[in-house]
Amino acid sequence: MPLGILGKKIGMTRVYDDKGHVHAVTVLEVKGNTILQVKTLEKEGYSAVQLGFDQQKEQRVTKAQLGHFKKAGSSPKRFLKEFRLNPNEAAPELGEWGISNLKVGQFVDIIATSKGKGFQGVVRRFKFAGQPETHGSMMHRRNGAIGNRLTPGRVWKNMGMPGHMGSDRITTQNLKIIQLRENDGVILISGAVPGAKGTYVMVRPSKKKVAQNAKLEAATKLS
Amino acid sequence: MNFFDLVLAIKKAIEHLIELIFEPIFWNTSSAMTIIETIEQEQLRTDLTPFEVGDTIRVHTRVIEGDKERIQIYTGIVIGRRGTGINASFTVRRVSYGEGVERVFPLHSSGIAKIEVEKRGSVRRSKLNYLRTRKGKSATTVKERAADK
Repeated sequence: MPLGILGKKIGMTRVYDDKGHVHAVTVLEVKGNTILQVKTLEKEGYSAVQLGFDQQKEQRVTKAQLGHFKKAGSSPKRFLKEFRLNPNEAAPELGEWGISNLKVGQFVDIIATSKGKGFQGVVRRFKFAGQPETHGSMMHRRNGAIGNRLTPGRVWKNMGMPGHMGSDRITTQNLKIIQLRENDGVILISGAVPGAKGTYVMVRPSKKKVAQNAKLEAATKLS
Repeated sequence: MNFFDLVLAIKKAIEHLIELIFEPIFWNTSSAMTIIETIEQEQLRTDLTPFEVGDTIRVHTRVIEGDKERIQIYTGIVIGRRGTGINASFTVRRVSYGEGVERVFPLHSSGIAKIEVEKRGSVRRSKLNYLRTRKGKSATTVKERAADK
């Protein structure tokens, strides 16, 4: 699997294409991605690449981490993520990893932490219907019955109940890259991306739209 | 140091404090455009003829059929405008074969080739939704504006 990129959610806007159609896009800042480590089959037992993104103050990292960054010839980074490589795939060199590695029209998956919603009831959390608001109903947004009788004599697993919602790791699949703005260090992705503004995101080539991405790759190689 | 000097000194100190507190706020208002603002600014169209609610306009729309492109003209009364910046759109209403038709166009879309103003209307509200309930001539006409400003 080819490498993706790390970024930060800036916000959303809309963009017109050449046909005059509107696309809702999310703006991701991806400036300053650095390859910090290349993990190999021989040494670590699997092949992967560690990317770092966004500046971190030197005083905020431990000495051990500082050594890790120094080894890669990089300044301290705040957000580190690993991308697995196929065993036969050539690993890139240490150093800068720019936008030029992405393509307009490519499909990507975005992984990020969703917005936290706090402790929520079942109506919001699991889309339960709740009970009548009126007609003498004295029960409105509760979960109702959670089990049966002697059989099964217990509550099924995954029964929806109130609890903490949000702040989960969410993957949004098959989003298209609409625009790459190399000078601004920004990419535009069609549709919404999990998380609030300022959330760190991982952009990875789509796991499902492999064929389409390969086709795009071949087309750009020909031209 | 007499009393007057003391008052002056205190006054100066307070002014200095106020400056310290408010200066960062002033800087924020004059800060450079954010990246989202830049992206939106780039797409704004300045080549379109200005028009207002109540005007009868001809919208030249680009229609793509297969690999060919042609221009289709849609004529009607502007019954509303909404949104600012890149989000701006407008609604054009016409009565076509006795059936009312409304089309909403994004103002800054490249799907609009050109806008021509046929008649300038003089109206007193920003949304002409009352035209929807009207029949006959009164549904398709708006008082014309006298001499252009």
